[in-house]
Amino acid sequence: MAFKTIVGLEIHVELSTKHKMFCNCPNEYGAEANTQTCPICLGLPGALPVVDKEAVEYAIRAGIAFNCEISNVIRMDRKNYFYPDLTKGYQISQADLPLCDGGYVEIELEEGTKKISLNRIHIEEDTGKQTHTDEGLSLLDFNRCGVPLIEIVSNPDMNSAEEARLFLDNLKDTLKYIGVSDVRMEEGSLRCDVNINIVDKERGLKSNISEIKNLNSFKAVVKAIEFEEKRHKDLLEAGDNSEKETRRWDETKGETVLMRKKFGASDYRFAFDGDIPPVDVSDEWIEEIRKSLPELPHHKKERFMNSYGLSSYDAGVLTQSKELSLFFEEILKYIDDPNLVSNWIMGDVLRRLKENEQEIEDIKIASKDLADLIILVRDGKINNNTGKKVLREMFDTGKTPDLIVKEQGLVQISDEGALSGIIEEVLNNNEQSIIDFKNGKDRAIGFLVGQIMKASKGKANPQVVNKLLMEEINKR
Amino acid sequence: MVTKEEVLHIAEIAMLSFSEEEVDIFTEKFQQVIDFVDTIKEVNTEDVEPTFSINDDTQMLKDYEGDEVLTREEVLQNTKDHQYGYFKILRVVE
Ligand SMILES: [Zn+2]
Repeated sequence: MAFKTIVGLEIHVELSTKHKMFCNCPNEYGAEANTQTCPICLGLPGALPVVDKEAVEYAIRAGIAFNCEISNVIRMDRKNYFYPDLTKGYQISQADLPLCDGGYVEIELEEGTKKISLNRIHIEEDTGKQTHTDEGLSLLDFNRCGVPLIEIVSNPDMNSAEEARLFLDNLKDTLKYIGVSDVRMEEGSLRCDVNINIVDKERGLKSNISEIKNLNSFKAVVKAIEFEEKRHKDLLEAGDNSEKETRRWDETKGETVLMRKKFGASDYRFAFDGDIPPVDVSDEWIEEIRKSLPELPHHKKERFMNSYGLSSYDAGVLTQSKELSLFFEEILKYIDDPNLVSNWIMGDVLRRLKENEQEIEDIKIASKDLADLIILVRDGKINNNTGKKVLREMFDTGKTPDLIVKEQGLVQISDEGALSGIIEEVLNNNEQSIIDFKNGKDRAIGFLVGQIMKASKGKANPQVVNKLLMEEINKR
Repeated sequence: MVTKEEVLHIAEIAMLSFSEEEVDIFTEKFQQVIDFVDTIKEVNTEDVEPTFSINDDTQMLKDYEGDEVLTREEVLQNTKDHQYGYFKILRVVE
């Protein structure tokens, strides 16, 4: 049967502003409980909220980065609900008039680029944090209460778990690039809900939408979508259907479980927040923010492909983080060979970072030093294997390649006089290999080259060795 | 018409419980309130712009350098129950 999966995502992102959304409490993660609150975010009587400029600027940055239409006015609404994570009895959010309307994110699939359209991005405040104890109590910390959030709502344009993952990757990279959030899922600064249902095209059937909450990693998102795909499909095939309901992902069980939800949409009684008059957002300000944005990852990727002639894959990897792309372009200032530099970074540099569980930000190597190393290898001063060894040393010590080469005497020996002495000695000690080679065993050459490299402590220039070795063997 | 079920639902999300008798009283009172508010529909609002706030002024955004926080002692002084610097309440699960 032809089933089609339909996925939409809602992503909450904490903005890394200096202050909270409506008060001047610092916006910092990890402080002691209830040390970052004030009359406004605690909802004490008489306190009046005022919208934070930086928070609006960050939300507009995100709106521009995701191609949204930015509204010229900010209106805030109250979402009423009775729950202890907010003391006011309502959350300040946006209902009918989001700050950013529409927009899209592009993802790269094997069959080409796919546009995932967005419904909206709106601003709202985060809630406090509850810790439930075994004794049937809840402990409340309001430090997070009032932290600025954007909620990014996609349209149901994704058709697989993989598409959802690519969408989230792109979203996360871009948010980090434009510097509006540290997007750490483990600290809760990026949270994601999934809406999913499936369509049976042949029979014209549709399952009812499940909303999945409590997804705290991209892996959990993928697993939850796959789980629900199957659950909905099994129900439809059995002539049944899923309920329109909210479920949560249970990581230990590896399945979604039903959440009892008392609140329906109309129970929130959305209404304008009379404490917050509308705020004008001028076109000039939006334009100013647009100009201040760094080059976005997908634009940079295209530029890397067009002006450096890199493959789509290489350009994609190099532009995934802002730091890596800057490092790459820094090196190009010293050595004008994008493909060679790309090969070094994509190969040995990223491999070493991965082994060390480091990010590019942690690298000890200056861009000029890596450029010098690449030049040493390119110009034949040291051979390729020695180059890799030197890079390893640079990673560990941060020393310059010149110093390492000098200290360890690694300069490649290309001098024919010096090499022929070594070659002669190795041949004299390995008469059998010469006979083997002359009897057609090509492998014997590899063995002899290995012996020569060993005798030269890895410093011999392989091309010169090959040439001299053949000459010498043919003489014998 | 306001139904008994609607009143029970509103009581539930407000985390309140009532006797059978009280629910009947509330159902009637809710209906009275709604009937009263419905009279506003008699006003002709054709060609009238919606009112979003009591004055039509717009507000500035805040752009403040320093922090303004209460100490934890100040924060907790009005609560009866607290522990390890947290507000302590009976567990509520949605
Ligand atoms: Zn505050």
